[in-house]
Amino acid sequence: MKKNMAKAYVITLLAIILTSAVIILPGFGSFQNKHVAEYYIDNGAIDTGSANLVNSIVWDYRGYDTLGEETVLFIAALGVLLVIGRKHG
Amino acid sequence: MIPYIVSMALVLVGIYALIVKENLIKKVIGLAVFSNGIHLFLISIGYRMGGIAPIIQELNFNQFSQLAVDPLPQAMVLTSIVINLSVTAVALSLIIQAHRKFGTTDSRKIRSLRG
Amino acid sequence: MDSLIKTVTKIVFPFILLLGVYIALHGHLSPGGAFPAGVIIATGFALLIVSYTERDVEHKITRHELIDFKTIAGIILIVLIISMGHKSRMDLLNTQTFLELWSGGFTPFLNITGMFMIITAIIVILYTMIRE
Repeated sequence: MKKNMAKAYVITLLAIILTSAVIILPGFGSFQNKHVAEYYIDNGAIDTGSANLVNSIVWDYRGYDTLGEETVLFIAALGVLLVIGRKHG
Repeated sequence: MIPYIVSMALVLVGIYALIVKENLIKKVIGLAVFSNGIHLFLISIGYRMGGIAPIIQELNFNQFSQLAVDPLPQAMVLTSIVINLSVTAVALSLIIQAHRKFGTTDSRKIRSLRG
Repeated sequence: MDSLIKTVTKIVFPFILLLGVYIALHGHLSPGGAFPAGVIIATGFALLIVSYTERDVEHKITRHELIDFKTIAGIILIVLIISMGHKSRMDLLNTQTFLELWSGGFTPFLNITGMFMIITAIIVILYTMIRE
C-alpha cells in the first residue's frame, strides 16, 4: 500500500514539473539562438561539397561522434553474442 | 505548442510504464517510448515558421538561407537512435538470461541474489 | 511456411537490396545516408528468416564470417575518419559540378563503409536472439 502511494506521488510530481516546463518554453518556431545554425547553413556546402547538410554534419563536422556511435554498436553486438552464447552439443 | 505537449505526454507514458508495471518486457517497452518522446522534443526545438528541409536543391542561395530549419538537432537525434537500439538489444538479452535462471519474468520474484 | 510467402519472398528480396544500396549511394543528394540504408537491408534479411525456416538460412552465412567482416569494416571506418582532417582528402570526388552523383568529396566512401557496419551488427543481434 505504501509503495503504491509512493509511485503515484512520483508520477504526479513529474506531471506537474513537465507541464510547467512546457508553458515556460519560448514559442514553437520562434528560432532564437541561431548562430551555429547560420554557420552550418552558409558554409556547409562549400567546405564539404555535399548538398545534404545533415550528411555533412554527421560525417564531416561531427565525425568523431559518429565514430563513437559505431563503437557502441559494435560493443553491443559483441555483448549480445557473449551473454546468450551458443547451444551446447 | 502542440509538439511540445505531445512529447511531454510520451515521456509521461514511458515513465509510468517504467515504474508501475511489473513485467520486465513492459519496462523495456516503456524505455523505448520515453526515448522517442525525447527525440521528438529535440527535433521540434529547431523549427522555423514556414521552413523547408536543409537540403540544397537548386542554386538559389539567398532564399534558402532564410527558410532552412536547423540541421544540428537532426544529426544528434540520428546518433541517439542508434545508441538507443544498442541499449534495448543488450537489455533484452539480459532478460533472456534471467528467464533461463529463474524461470519467470516477474520483477517481484527476481529479488534474491542467489549464486 | 506457406508456399505463397516463399515465392513472393524470392521475387521481392533482390529489390530490397537494390533499394538499400540506392539510398546509401545517394546519401549526399537526398535524405538518407548510411543508417536507414543499413536498416532496410537488415530487414530484408529478417524477411528471409521469417519466411523460410531458420535452419536453412543459417547455413548460408555463418557467424564467424560476419564477425570478421564487421572487424574489417570497423578498421576501415576508423582509418577513413581519422584521415578526414587532411585537406587533400576533400578533393577526391570533386570532378563534376555540384549536384551530380560523383561529387561530394569524401562522403560517399564513408556512407558505404558505415552501411556495412550497420548491416553486420543488426544481423548478428537478430540471428543470436532468434536462435535462442
